[in-house]
Amino acid sequence: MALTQQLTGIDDAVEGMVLAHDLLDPGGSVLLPAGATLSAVSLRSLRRRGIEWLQVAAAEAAPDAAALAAERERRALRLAQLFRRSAGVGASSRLLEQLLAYRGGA
Amino acid sequence: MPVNTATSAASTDIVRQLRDLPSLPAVVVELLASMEADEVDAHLLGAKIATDQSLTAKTLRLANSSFYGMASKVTSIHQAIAVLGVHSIRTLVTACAVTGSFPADANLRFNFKGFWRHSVGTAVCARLLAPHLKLNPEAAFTAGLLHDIGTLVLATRLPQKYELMLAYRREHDCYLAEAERAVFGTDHAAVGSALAAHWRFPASMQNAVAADHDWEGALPPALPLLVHTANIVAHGLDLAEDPEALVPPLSQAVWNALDLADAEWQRLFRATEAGYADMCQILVN
Repeated sequence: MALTQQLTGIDDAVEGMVLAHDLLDPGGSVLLPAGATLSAVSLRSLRRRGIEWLQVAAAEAAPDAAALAAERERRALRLAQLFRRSAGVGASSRLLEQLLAYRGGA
Repeated sequence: MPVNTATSAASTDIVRQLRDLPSLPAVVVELLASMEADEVDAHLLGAKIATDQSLTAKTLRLANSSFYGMASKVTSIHQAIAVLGVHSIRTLVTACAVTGSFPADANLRFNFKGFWRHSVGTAVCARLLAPHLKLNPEAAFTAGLLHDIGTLVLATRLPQKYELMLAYRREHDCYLAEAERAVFGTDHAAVGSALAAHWRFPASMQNAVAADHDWEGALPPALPLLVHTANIVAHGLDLAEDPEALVPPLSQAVWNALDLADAEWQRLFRATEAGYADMCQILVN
């Protein structure tokens, strides 16, 4: 599963999140290293130190349903555009159906 | 579809005016002359191809492409002929020669890459569809590859007029052939057929190129019908990625003649995309 980063406010951070980068204090010292899993204890400690934002690793919503739907929509629109003159003619709509199934299944 | 006589006359004029039409390597001309003959001397064929080094190299790369799915690599034309057969090799040599005869010209705005992607896709699709219509797959491939060749004549030999034609197409959102007839008085199917005649392709091939568009005639399951269909499928697969592309209509009669089940359509799309990507890389660079 690909990892991406996500900026999270300290109040939205929850136990189990994984730091994407070393978390540094204003002096440049590492408070928590990249890859550390946040716990209730470390979250409390970060709040105390006035940390407001965290870069956490976000699991890229494994094939994101919304992104997939958008891609399907884009392909369907492109097919509609390609068939804009012929869709109603002869068996063209049957071919279009087959192509939609093909593009939709990918 | 019989070619409109006025269009045909205009295209013959265009081809006649063009003194610098590309010629094919001598070995290819000889191969074409033998295209309709079943008996071909494999040894002689191999010896002839081997005289042209760049042709040999490209042909071997094609023969080794995944499209033919061979277990082991062929390293000589004679070996390729032995493994793939005389007919396949003749097809590949012709494909190399034809694509090599119109080298991409960076001074032209014409999209050579998109053009060949669509042509190679049509060729691959035609080859895959051929058995469904009981036609020769090799002839189908070559006819598919050539079906838009007239476009290259117009785009490379009359580039300014070609730009005008593209503007006309944008303005009217019409088929390429309609815009060509409006601006050139002929279309790429007719010009392509004239070029195929100039190159002495067999008559069946010339007809297949000429009848590329607007299929409404009777339905002998012949090469023109096959190319017409493969062209539509390749456009549907959007291989050229031409923003203004239009998929030509597919007639009910053609649909019925093909009689493909859903799964066969899906297989055809997959195999066409897989085959064309591979071949494009070798043919179009």
